[in-house]
Amino acid sequence: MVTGLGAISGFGEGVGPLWEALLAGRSAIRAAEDARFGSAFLARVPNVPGDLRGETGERAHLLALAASGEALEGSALPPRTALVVGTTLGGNRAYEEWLAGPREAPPLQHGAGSPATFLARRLGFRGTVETVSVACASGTAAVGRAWDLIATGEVEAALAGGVDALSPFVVSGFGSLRALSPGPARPFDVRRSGLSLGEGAAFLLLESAEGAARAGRAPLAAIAGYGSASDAFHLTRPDPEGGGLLRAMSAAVSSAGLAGNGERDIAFVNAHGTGTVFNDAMEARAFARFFGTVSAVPPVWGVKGALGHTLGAAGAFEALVSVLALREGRIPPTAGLEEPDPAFALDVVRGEPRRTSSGRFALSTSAAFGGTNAVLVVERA
Amino acid sequence: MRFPGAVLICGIGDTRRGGGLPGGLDARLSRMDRFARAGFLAGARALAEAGREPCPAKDPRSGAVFGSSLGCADAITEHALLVAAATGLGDLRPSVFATTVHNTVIAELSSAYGLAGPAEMLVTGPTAGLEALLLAARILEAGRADLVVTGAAEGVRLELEAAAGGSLIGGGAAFVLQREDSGRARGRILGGALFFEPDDGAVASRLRDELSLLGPGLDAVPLAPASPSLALAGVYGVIDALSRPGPSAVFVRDPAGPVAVLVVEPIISG
Repeated sequence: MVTGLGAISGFGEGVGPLWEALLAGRSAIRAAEDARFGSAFLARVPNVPGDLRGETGERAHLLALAASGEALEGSALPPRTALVVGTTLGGNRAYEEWLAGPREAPPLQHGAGSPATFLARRLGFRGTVETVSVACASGTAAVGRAWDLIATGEVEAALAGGVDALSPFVVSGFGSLRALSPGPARPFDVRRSGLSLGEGAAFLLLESAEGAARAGRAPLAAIAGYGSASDAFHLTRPDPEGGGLLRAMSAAVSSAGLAGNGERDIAFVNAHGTGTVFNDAMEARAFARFFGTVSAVPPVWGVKGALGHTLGAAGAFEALVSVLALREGRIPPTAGLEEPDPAFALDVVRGEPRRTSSGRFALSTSAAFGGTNAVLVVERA
Repeated sequence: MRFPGAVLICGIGDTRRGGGLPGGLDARLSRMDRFARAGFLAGARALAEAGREPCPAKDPRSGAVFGSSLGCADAITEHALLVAAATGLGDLRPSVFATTVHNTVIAELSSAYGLAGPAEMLVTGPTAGLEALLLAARILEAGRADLVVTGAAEGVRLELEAAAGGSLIGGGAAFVLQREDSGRARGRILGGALFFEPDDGAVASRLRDELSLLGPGLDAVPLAPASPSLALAGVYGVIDALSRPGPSAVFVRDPAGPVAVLVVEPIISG
């Protein structure tokens, strides 16, 4: 059961402002106006709160602290609560600064695992503490891992999410790959020409049904399944046939007990939807193959035209907004999408929010560098 | 978590031992950083020992799960140094940035061997190697795959190694886990646990508690602390444990707080 949500994004602190902005179709992506980022269009967090205890100045830690605090607000957690964080670079900024300096003792609290260990110490976790890093699918994999830890009974509850901060390292890297859009990203649009980067953190508090009931916490939704699969194809190019994503979707619905006719009960797909030529085409192909025909694909939407591509946090944001969409029965429009690519023939939600169907489930899909695909099944409470 | 069904170790690869690569794979190594190369070598040797050849056909019932403490720090360092010195995007190397993701090891193994099933990468810290083995065992136990290549890899950049007084060690060790015994099994995974304990003095009692929770029989298994060497500690500890008679509880404690313990037992053939 999902019983808590927390986020900090280009729309600022909090789940409320994020959801309101998505429903209004707004985008947080702007011209960077910062020489360190060149001409990139980015969704930067406007005001990252500092650490009142002065224990960290690492931007990724601060983002994770803000989002996890909101997700846990007012919750007294069982002793065996897990923390699973997805990230691509974690606390890399300290490392970058160390490299630029005299390079004395290696920096403390750097590296991909540092946000999780920082949060665990700060918030008093005693259960499993893990960091997963499968590039842009990391946030989805983190929530999936937490779901599995609860499903096996290893822990009663888990805080799971993702975090990544923008830095010249990342922006210049995607620039060198010629993957950045010259304006705000346009997922699934016929004129799409690349992604826009973003930053932030999103966390979900998951509990066993018994634990949530015992604590008197009402479920917002449930994570019902998870699957991952490799393209086994290429390091940076997705399999154009969407084979890896198709296998991850199949594994996820199978783990949720939906395989067979259950696919008909899927209300929407929250897509990875980066706005790159290859990703969106690959996803469209995978969706059509999974549902049998294009016309059978339920409504599709994405948030990367609003939040930018938040890398290791992206999948956690997408799980979070899928929870909200199922709960409220409304799918926000896909920001940045004006003219859907006719080659896909997908029903991508745009312009105005749309009422969800009566379907109980949603899929949230991620596809990453390295050909790693990860998919969550979210269930209406 | 305990694994009542068989989770068998059917192949071991270790970069500390000599050995080459199956034909046709050498060219792949040239595009990898030290971390990916170490993991790929270890994984390829483990797969060879398990009787698995490189294969372009995709097998959705086979997967890859690895762990690392520093991950692609090698590629990250190279890209960061290029960024620091760059006057424009033309000074950067896209091929370097493309390898600044920690899942390159599983990506390279997956594409070379057609491992198209579950794919996971853990980078928690020194515990990540044992975490990978536990997750791989869980994937098999849950029936999500029939074979998983798993292990740990580290590729230590000279800048980091020098700053640590030369104490950081790179390399890789990998295992092929399977449910079905193909006659090659060298050991089995009985169970394991992951927890967070920032108090060094409380680790021993928590280890005993966690092993007790796994059920009768495992709480009396001798503890085998692994020597600290990033995420390689745990996987090297498992290789050592498989050379001893009887089960061992290999554990790694990260000074930052995470603790991982894995109970393994050798299978003596003949």
